[in-house]
Amino acid sequence: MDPITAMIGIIIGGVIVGICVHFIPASAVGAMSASTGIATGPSMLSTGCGLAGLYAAGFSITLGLPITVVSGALGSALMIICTMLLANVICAFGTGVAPVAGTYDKDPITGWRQKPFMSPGTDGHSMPTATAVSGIIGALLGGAGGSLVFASVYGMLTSPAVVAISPKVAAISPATAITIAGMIAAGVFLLNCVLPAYVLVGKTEGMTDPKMKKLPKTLISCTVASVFIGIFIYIAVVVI
Amino acid sequence: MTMQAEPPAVEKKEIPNIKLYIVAMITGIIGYYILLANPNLAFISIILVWPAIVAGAGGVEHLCRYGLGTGTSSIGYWGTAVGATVVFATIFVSSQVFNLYSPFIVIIVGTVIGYIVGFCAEKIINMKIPQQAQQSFIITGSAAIFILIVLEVLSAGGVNTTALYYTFPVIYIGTALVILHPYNGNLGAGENQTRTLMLALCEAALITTVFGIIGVLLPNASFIPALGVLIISLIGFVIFVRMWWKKVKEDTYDVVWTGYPAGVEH
Amino acid sequence: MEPVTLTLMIGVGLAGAIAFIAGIIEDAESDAGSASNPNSQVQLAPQIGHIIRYYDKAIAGEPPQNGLWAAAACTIALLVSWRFVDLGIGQYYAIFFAAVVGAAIICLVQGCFGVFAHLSRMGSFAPFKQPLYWDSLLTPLPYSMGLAFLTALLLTLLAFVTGGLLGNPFAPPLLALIFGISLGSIASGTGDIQYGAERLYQHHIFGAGIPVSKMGDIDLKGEYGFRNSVDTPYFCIRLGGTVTAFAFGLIIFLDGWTRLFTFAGVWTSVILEAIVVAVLFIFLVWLEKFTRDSYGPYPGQEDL
Repeated sequence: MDPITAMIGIIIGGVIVGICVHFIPASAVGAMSASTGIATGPSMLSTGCGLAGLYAAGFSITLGLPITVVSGALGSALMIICTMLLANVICAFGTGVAPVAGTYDKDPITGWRQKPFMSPGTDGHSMPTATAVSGIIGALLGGAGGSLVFASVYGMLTSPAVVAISPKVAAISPATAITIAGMIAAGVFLLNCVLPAYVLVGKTEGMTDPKMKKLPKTLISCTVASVFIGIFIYIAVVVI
Repeated sequence: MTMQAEPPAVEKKEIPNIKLYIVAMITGIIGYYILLANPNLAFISIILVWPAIVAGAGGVEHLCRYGLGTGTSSIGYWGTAVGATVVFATIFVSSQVFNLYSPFIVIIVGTVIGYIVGFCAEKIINMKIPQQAQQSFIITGSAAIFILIVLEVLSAGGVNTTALYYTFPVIYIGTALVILHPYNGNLGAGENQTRTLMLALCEAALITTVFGIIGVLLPNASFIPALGVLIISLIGFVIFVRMWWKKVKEDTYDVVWTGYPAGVEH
Repeated sequence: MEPVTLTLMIGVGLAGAIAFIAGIIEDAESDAGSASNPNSQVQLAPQIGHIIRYYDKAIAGEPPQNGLWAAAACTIALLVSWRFVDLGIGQYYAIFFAAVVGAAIICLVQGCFGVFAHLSRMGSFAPFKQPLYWDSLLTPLPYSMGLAFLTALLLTLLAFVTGGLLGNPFAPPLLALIFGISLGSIASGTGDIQYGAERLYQHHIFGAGIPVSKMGDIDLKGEYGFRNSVDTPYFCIRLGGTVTAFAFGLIIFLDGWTRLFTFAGVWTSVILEAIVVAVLFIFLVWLEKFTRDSYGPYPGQEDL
């Protein structure tokens, strides 16, 4: 893979990971069944979900870029749907509450009304249908972005153009290159999942939340951070 | 500018984090060159790199004290992610493994990226936390220099680089946890900087003990550097825990073996 | 894609089983010392005047701390297993012994972190007149360390199984880090709801979430005497632990299971995973309808 294309791949992958945090519903207060969303902070949930996608993408890294990205996206989606389904089970049988959301009055997809079922004093609990769809979309994006970074770094480390220039890179065997690429992808995940958490202030309900209007701020910050990291990796591999 | 941070005075005076950072950078660079000169002096370098963790923990404390809102953990991961990615990219894919310019490259790049992203957070996202850009680059720079020295200690025994790649994940997550844990462990109304920074020293010694164990086990010819690190870290750990425990006893309301909580009928 | 062999099938089943048990143990460990999101309630309690006797073990969030235990135990295990293999012990036995050694060292580290956090936080609660009770720290401490040992051991074994038997090309420490962070976020999102909304608030009536006005008003007295952190895991394993186990185990098992088929070439696992996601989504909508019909609206809120 051409090093310049790989660098652009790293940047785009990082920005997509930043966007996915807005879509996955998460809130720390959900652990007390006091607000809609999975009961963890947005940054760590997106990281966990993206890393599950990275694990799934690792199986097919040697088979080419498109299948790695799609495989990673579906691995993340599988993790999120299992987590959401079982979190709803706990809320239904452990706490005794029905899934309702606080940001809309009638569910856009099923049309069910939310307010009669909301515990007095809280902001919703667990995940109704529209929020779950938003979570799946977010997980698909997160897994795809992370796998794109992973495949790009791997492509950069094994590309014939770079191997011809730098003897140090030529000495890295493909198996070690996969691990290095995986570590850099994990690092990019953690970097790009925390910046949107600044924007969201700890709690989001996914695509139906009014905080989606702050998406441009995330786009700019994540683009800046990813551009610097991407350029630096490119320089480290190709130039030095 | 003095080379030493002022000792904590009797009245509640706080040490500005930027002084801690400059001390940490200078001692880190000195430690790196000592290690290049003679790998068996690794135990001196490790003592010189503990201030980096203290500086990073101070940065986390400053940012989170003003109400970061997303949880104290996130800023630690983000800072370590920048520092670690910079170090890994420099060391393992650039043409020379540990050349003479590594610490400067790593510190400068880490500081620049940390500053720019912190600046974005201040101006674009507008979080209204004072000195956010400065504290951000303190965290990223400290993580970068710490990881660089640890990687060099582990490889100074002449281990072939393939085996060293396996230690990446634990170095990364271990550094992240010890930078953010001191403030998280002291969360509460009575938190003060002295106790937080002493806890940071205890935890820095703890994590370098774990890295020392890993270094002793790495398959290489000479494990003397890692053994030195392990012994010095254990000694440092015991000393720092005594200092920290004395401060905790001063600060706690009451220390008893057991009792009925006040205000609840039994 | 490798052809389906006995090794692959054993690998998928074993990985699913280990992931399942790891889920139960990890959720129990996060309840044995109050950790993660419900820890905010234990933090709030002294501020409103409730003197607590819980073990306030606050080591960052759940995902990164499990990532550290898993990655460190796996790294030490990998290096020790190389030494064992040099000594002539067979590779599979070496991995078992080495995993136990790695996990044992890590449980001591977890104990240190937990003790530091509890003591420092009790120091920070001095304005609220919260004393440091030694027995509320030392009684749950061995319990929590033992559960951390088991978590690290199981995640290390899972990393070796998926790396060796299933053929994932990542190095085992990186796999252990991935599983640690994923398991931490899953357990935090499922099992902790029962701890935070139910076990800490047993004196509030079942059937509603905890509004902001009641946060911090946690249980001080338990089934016998004053509640402390040893009383939580046995309650939460019954529902929270098992559901967490299902979540993590299903993910690992289904992901491996979809790779056993090869009817569409390399895109088989992608198609099968998409079908599984769709089926589980239909379950989710059905469960929502079932819950709404069973519980009905809150009294007084039918017309809102």
